[in-house]
This record gives sequence, C-alpha cells and structure tokens, in this order.
Amino acid sequence: MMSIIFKLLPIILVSFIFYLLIYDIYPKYQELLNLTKQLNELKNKEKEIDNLQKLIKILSQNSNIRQLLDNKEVLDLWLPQEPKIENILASLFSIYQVNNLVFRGTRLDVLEEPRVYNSNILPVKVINFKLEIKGDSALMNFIVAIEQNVRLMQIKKAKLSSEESNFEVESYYLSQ
Amino acid sequence: MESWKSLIPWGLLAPFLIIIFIEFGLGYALNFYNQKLYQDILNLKSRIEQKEKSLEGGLGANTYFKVFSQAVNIVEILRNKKSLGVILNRFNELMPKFLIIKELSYDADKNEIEIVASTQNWQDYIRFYKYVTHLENLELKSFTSPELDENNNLINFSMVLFLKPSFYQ
Repeated sequence: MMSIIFKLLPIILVSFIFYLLIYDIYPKYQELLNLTKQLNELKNKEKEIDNLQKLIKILSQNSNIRQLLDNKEVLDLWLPQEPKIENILASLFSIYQVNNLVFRGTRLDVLEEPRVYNSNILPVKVINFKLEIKGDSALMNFIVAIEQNVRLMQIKKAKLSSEESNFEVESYYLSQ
Repeated sequence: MESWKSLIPWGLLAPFLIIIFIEFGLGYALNFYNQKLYQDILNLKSRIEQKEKSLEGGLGANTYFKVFSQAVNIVEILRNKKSLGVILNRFNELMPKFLIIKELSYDADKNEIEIVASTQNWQDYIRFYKYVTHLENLELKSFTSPELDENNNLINFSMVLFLKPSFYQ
C-alpha cells in the first residue's frame, strides 16, 4: 500500500506544482502587471503635471509674454477669450453700412468641435455665419472689409454673381 | 523505518520539491512586491492630488497661458488664411479677357473655384479650354459640355478648377 502511494508521489507533486502555478503565482503575476500599468500611468500623469507647472513658471517669467499681457486688449479684439457675438454683429453692421448695403442679420453657429492649430496651446472655437449682398458694386470692398476686419474672419465659401452674392464666413474665439 | 525511507524515490522527487520550494518563494516575492507597488500607487495618488490642487483649474485657467495661446492662435489663423480678395485678383489676372464669367463659386477647404461662364463663339471656347488645361496654377477638375445659347449667341459652360499650391505663391 505504502509503495503505491510513494510511486504516486511524483504525480501528486506535479499536480501540486501546477495548482500553485495556476491558482497562486499566475493571479499574483496578473496583479503585478495591473499594478505596474497603473503606477506607470500615474507616473506619466505626474510628469505631465510637472511639465505644466514648469511651463506656467516659464510663461510667467517670460518678458515677451508679459508684453503680450500688456497688449491683452488688442489680442481680445482679434481673438477674444469669449464668443463676443455682439462684436461680430457690430463689425458686420458697420461693414454693410460703409458699403451702402443693408444688413439683414445672420445666424451665428458655434461649432462643437474646437479647432487645434497647435497642440501645445488652447484650441480655438469656430463661429460660422452666412452673409449675402445684393448687386456687385461694392463686392470687392465688402470682401476686403470682411477679411481685414479687426476680429479675425475668413471667407470659407462664396458664390458671386452680378445680382447676388453669398458668403460662408468663420470667426474664432479662444476655447477654454 | 529503514525500509520506509528506502521506498521513497528521492532522486525523482527532489526536482519536484525544489520546484515547489521555488514556487513558494516566487509567490512570497510577488506578494511582497505587489504590496509595495500598491503602497507606491497610494503615495503617488496623494502627491498628484496635491499638485493638481496647486495648479488651480489647470493650465487653461492660467492668464499667461491664455494670452500665449491667443497670440499663437492669431499667428496660426493668419498664416493659414486664404484671402478671397487676393484669390479673385489672381484668378482674374489668369483668365482671358474674352471670357464672360456669370457666376463664381469658391470653396476654401476644397481649394476650388467653379465658374459658370460664356464665350462669344466656339473658337473662343476652344481657345479657352486649351488655355485652361495648360495652366500651371490651375487644374481642370470637371466641366459641363458647352452649349450654344441661340438667343444670346453665346457658348455657355461651367468648370470646376482646382487651385494648385503654386496659385497662392
């Protein structure tokens, strides 16, 4: 009887080895992988925060940025930090009036998706609107006035004819 | 007793026992290391929380960064801007004088200009077609078949022209 048990011992031991591998070591190894992954993610996050802190320090000490801060009002005219729809409407009204045209209003749509010109800075939000003018006597002056407006505007689409012209224009503001 | 010991095949069992011993050791080491990692994670989390608090709303809320972003975005917008006024002047320079443009559509994203135009005779149309297909700055993308308008004695057609990068230079 004893001799049978002893002869079976290798099988029992091999089973025990696999039992330990599957139910003890492998779950602990999986946990180790998860924890390492979590730790690395947190380390990356900490690195990002450190970089941000460094960048803020550099920005606050940079004389050019300080100069920009002094001219913040001008920057706000070109690209404000808020939609400032009223400024766009005032500009449009004035452009129409200067060119002896009648401004009949427009719908301003803010696009959901911000536009990223540079991934290291805050993106901009785009405001779309449509314009139309009758006749072509003031066409070029109108186009130039839109494009040279102090609040940045760009004509994205245009349909020009002698009777009527339509424009799809976009303007911008800084996304927070 | 002697006979009991002699029954165990030690030579065969020893490697298995060693493996089991190693496994126990490995299990213990993994346990110890996992606990250390867990503690490190907790410490790191609290450190990150403190740093985040010190940033007060993140970089986006920082005045210097906002102003810097404004300035860079202005430069980028102006650099990417395609002026319709300039494009129209350039396009007019390229188009022959005999071409009558009735309607012009412009799409900045597609870099395209579509014209609905006329010429006064078939010779002019052929001249224009030949001219426009040989232009370096424009590429004829599509066109409708020309048709004779007998009332006005004009050849009417439309064309979609792609503005090549050289057009803007």
